[in-house]
Amino acid sequence: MLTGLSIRVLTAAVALAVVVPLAACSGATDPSVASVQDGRLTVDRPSAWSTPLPVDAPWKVGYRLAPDSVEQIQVSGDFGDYVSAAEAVGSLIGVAQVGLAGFTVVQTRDLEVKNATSAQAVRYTITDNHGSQVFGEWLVAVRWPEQQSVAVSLLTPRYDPDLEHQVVDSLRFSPA
Amino acid sequence: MRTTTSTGAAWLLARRAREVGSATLEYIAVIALAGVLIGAVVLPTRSAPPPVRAKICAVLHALEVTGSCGGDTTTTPPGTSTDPTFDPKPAKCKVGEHGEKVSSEIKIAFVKLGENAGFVETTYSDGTVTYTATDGASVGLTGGVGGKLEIGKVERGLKVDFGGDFKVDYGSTWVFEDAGEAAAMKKQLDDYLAEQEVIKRDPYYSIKFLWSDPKEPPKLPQQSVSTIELGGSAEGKVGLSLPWKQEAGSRSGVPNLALADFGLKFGGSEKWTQITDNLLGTKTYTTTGEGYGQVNGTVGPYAGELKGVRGSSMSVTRDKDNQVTKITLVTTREGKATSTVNFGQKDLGGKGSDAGSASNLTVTTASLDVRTPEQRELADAWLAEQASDPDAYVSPETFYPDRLVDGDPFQNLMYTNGTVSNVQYDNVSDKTGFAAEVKLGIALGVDLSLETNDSKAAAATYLDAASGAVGTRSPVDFPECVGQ
Repeated sequence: MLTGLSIRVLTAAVALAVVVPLAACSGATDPSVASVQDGRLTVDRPSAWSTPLPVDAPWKVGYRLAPDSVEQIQVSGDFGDYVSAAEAVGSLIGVAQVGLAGFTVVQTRDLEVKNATSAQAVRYTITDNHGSQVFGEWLVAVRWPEQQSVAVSLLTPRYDPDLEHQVVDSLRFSPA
Repeated sequence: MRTTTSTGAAWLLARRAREVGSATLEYIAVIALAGVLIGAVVLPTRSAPPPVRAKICAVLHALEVTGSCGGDTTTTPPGTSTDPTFDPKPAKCKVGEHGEKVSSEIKIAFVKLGENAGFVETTYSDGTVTYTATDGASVGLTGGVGGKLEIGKVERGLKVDFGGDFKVDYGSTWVFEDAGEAAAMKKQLDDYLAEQEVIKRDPYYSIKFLWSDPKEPPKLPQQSVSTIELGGSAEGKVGLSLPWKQEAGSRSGVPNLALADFGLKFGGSEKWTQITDNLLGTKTYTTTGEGYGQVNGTVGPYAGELKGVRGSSMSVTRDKDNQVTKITLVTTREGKATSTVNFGQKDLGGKGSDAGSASNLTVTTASLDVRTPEQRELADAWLAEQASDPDAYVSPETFYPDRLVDGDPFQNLMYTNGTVSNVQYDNVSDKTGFAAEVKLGIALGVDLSLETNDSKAAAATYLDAASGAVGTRSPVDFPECVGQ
């Protein structure tokens, strides 16, 4: 039979066992990273990108490095009814193809995202009014047949693979 | 949650293992280089001195764009395809093909599920079966082109609700190898919906999932349909807030459009229908067109469709890497399938010249398979011009490429490498309604050889191979496209 002291020691041990890994996973240990959560989506962003950004539907939350900076991220935890990531990405490409100057897809690849039945990343470039290339990326994850979807949009003045990997690896999709 | 960027090589390896697919950076770089070269050579063709022009024409010949170089000494005559495998006969008189084999539809039935949902079941001659999602109102419908769908519902993005949170877009299509596979999917859906209904009514039912798995939903449709609205801010829709104001009207540099006095302008509705092949990752974007051109010296839209053209649509198919693979221009026009059409003078609004053809409607499908990076570069530039130039429009010689237009590289490509089918319907009572059905129906795989709600395909032709810079492409009988 456990004594009162034993119970307290056991409780403390259990608490430590739970809290330490959570702290390690939370991003709280790295001040350069902040977490963004919207609906079913959780994803990391650079903490320096802290200037709130007005967004249009279906995007829900946005941040940028500074007012009028290229560096920005927008996220949506409820991106729309799509049966696949290919369909969701196709809708973004369709708009960009017509509406963004110099829009060119650089790479499309499948991702594995837990709880999603399909997920894709699309890297692309557009041109600013001086003809310089700017680098963007969409990450989309979809769950069939519920047709729940989440999305992330990134824009940087130059391709930043470290940032890309950080955002991709931090992407979490929580189904309803 | 992962926290930093400093986890090193193991982290990178893990990441790479998660990412499936192939990078196309090098490929893009090659195309970009080709683009620079093409951009440099296409523009000055007509104004360059003869030695330079000969070199430009040599490059254009390499691109299979051979119409702009009359009088040069290269071996391939202008206005002829340099692709030895090009067959001017279309595979069939429809755009979409679900089966790998060319097959005809032999049976259409309706599978009703609930009050407001069901499938159009289409059986093809090779045994392939497709299920196309439709609402209750369409079950039993026999009208419309191909007797399958109400196209207006597709364009409006209507959802079909099967119950149990199983919703798909109107027109979404499953493809099965045979009838047995199709029946198994229907049973799977029935079982899934029944269990979802029980779960909804009995909160304790889910306890059984501690020791048994829930019913699996059917696989997702191979072909899904969605609608893209382009009105408003494009950058906002795609998740961007650009720190610069986009300049409208940037030009691609392809000098093909200045030569057209009138034609069709696509995308004016700011609405595109997207058809996604979820198996292959391809997307087909379709939009409708309207008559456009110079009226009293001012460039702008005509009051209605280009006279003689009752309806039109443009479809652009892109592969998983967003490379253009096919461009299809569909027009429903007054006239017969067996005649070459003169779309007339600009001040007449492109009046068709077929005499005595008032009761005939012909659906013309001009389709270009974009096969090479060079052709793709030209197609991309042409499409960019259509999107960015408010005065851009598609000439009749492009959507009906029966003759060569000098100095118009994209039209030349359509002339030398595009397949063109004509399917004629007689005594159509509702021409406007008919044309509206055709606009999008063709991209959904409607077989035009079938009878419609008020007419049958009475005659069909396709245009033969291009016969040089001064020749024309003549109609050839195409009996396979006439309903039996």
